[in-house]
Amino acid sequence: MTEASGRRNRVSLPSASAATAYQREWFADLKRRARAGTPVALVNADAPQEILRAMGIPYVVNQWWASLCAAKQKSGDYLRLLGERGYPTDQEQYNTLALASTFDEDSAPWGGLPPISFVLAETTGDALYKMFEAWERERGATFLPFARTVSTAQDPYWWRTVEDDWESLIGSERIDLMTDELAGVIRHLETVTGHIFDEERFVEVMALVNEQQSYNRLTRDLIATTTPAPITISDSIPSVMIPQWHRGTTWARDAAKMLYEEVLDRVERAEAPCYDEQIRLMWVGTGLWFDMGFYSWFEQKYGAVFVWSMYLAIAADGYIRNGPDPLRTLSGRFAAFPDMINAPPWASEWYAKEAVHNRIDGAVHFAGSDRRGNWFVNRAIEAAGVPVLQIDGDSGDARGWDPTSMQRQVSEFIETRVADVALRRREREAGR
Amino acid sequence: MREPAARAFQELSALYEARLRPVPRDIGGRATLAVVGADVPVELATACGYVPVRLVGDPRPSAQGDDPGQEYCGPGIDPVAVSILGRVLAGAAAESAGLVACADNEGTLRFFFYLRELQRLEPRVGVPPLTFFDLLHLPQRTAAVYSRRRFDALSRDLEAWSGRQVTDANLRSAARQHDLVRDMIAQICARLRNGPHGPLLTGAQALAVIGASQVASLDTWIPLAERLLAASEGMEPQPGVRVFLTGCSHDHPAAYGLIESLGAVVVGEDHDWGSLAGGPRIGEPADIRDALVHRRVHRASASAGHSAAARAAQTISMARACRADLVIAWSRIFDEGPAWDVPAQRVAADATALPFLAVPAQPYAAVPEPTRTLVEAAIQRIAEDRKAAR
Repeated sequence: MTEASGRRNRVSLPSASAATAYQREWFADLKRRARAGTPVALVNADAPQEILRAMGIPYVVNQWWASLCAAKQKSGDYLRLLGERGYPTDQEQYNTLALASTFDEDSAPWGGLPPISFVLAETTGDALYKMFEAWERERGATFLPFARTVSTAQDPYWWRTVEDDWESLIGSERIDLMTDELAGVIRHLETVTGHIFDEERFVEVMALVNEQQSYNRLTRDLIATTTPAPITISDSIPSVMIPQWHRGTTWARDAAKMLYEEVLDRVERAEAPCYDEQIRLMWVGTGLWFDMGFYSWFEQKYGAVFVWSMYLAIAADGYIRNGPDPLRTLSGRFAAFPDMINAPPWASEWYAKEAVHNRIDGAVHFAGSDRRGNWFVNRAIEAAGVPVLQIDGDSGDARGWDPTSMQRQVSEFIETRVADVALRRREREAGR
Repeated sequence: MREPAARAFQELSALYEARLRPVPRDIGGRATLAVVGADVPVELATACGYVPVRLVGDPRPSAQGDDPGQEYCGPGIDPVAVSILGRVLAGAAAESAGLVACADNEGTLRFFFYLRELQRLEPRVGVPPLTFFDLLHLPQRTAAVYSRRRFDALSRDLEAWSGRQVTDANLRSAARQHDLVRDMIAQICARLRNGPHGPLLTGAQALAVIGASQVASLDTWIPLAERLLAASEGMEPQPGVRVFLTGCSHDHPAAYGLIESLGAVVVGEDHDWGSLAGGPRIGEPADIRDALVHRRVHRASASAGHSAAARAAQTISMARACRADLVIAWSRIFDEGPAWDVPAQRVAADATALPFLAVPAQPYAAVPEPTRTLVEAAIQRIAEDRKAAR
């Protein structure tokens, strides 16, 4: 099997359908604006998109576009196109699909990306800087990088204080640097595009983002405390992530509110995708875009439900920031973002905390490479009493994905390691 | 190689081979400081009275048959970093006064993250105190300001460890010593690898001579390098196709050994265990601390942290200066930067009609047969073209 079967997720939430419809309309409008001469940016997921929002510069999120390409079963073809141009195809596949898609001149999803004028990205790893630089060489875009920095002092339990005390947690040097970088990028964009950075609008954007993520937190907590879970990650991912890429708008805030109200309604009416829920699973890693149906396969056979992915959880814990200086506060959101999901101890301790909070019985860790510090993540989750199965793969590369083999691995994991843990949890929760 | 060059080389080579041994407590009565990565300002260590000793990986299987670094690192981490982690966990730096890591590439960064976390979770007595220097390579002023602040933080750490105050005067003195080493490395490259009589050292020999400067006391290395340079008339030119090596760094001579076993000689390279160790000079700047940061940011670049465009221009310029017949871009598996340089390097090489061969995803310190075949074919092609031209 060289390409996934392309099973789709079951969209059962109105908020997910609404988000998908909005995204199509938004993208069509974006392309219209691009044709009329509006410059469009490509941003990486962990770049501070809020400044573009405040300036009214439209942008496409690299990982959203990659997920779309993967869902359309394009990853194999696109990586081949990349390889034909001499670029590596065995690293950073998820991050490179958008560039690769621009080499597809006639069959790219949704008619392809509009011309990209700017690329904004943080430079984690050795490949990303050069990969985004390739946008300059291949597509004439201007790359505006943000440095990846490292703290020497670490409070592992960042989520307890990050909202208000981000400066002492992350370190003033790192905050100062990103604030200076933001000021430089804003000035560059103002000069080149003629758009202005509206401070009042920016304050609104920052407030809307906090509101949006507060709803996501309520949703996360509802799912965490409800059995059977009112929705699965197949349902939550589109309802969370499409609005996430539109954060700072009233639509995105309202979409998060809509999701919360839907989930609350399902909880109150005791509706669930798997009424016979026996086992609660967590998916650690990026989404399985090319085989979203994979997640629901285990519900019928085992009553095993994937109730947790990082997308809703990091929205709940990772974005909310309060502070008197909005630009500095934005730095407080992003200066240490890679640490939260990709480096010990922040990532490992957070995944473990979430496993406990969400009453998880087993974790499936999807990781083709070690960029999250897999041993440390797995160790922390297991130390919290939750068994972990690590499986190989990359969200942007369906070439080696064998769903039958993966189903077998996860099934064996459930039967041999998770079922007993789940049974004990259910007994504990039932007071037995 | 005849006496006395041979004797000087043998002593330098012995220093280089000692890199695989644990870092000693002191060298010549001065405490050692273990260093991981190319960005650590060794002048700061010297100013604190330390002998900085750069750690290398060790691809040999351990006596116990296990690999303590591999246990904590999954696929995706540069095997050099994995190996160094294993060595440190096994006590290779236990005797040193401390260990300074940096962000010269993702492997070194992961080494630091993982070692720091392991010391938090299950501290080992054989791991020395640990700190980190976050030098950024983005060419903007914002990055330089940040890096300077981190330099001052590192300076405070080393002051605390050593009990010695870091003054501008002792930093300048240290910079002069290290400049002398850099000047001598530049001379070794110019006179012994690219002089009028052709290469007098093989690439593997040059790698050992230059590498020794990073793992030994300067007081030992400088006189030996002086003796080697002074004895150059006793050295025979090395025949063969002239190869310039780009791509990943090499703390082990396996790639050089392969290339030079196939009728070629490596006359230059752009990695920090080789020619790039010959720069940048610090000189006598107005602000010594700024200079120690900025020179490193703006120096000739290794792959990680630098643009492919800058890297390609540098590769071709250095290869031309070495009068190379062939450029080989050798990338180690999971060292992700170099492979992204290849398209730009190939375009730049083609533009100057310089033959270019990319060998991606190579294992650490080993040479698979397909690689041998590929490299051999490229070298033979050049040799035959040369023969035909004569």
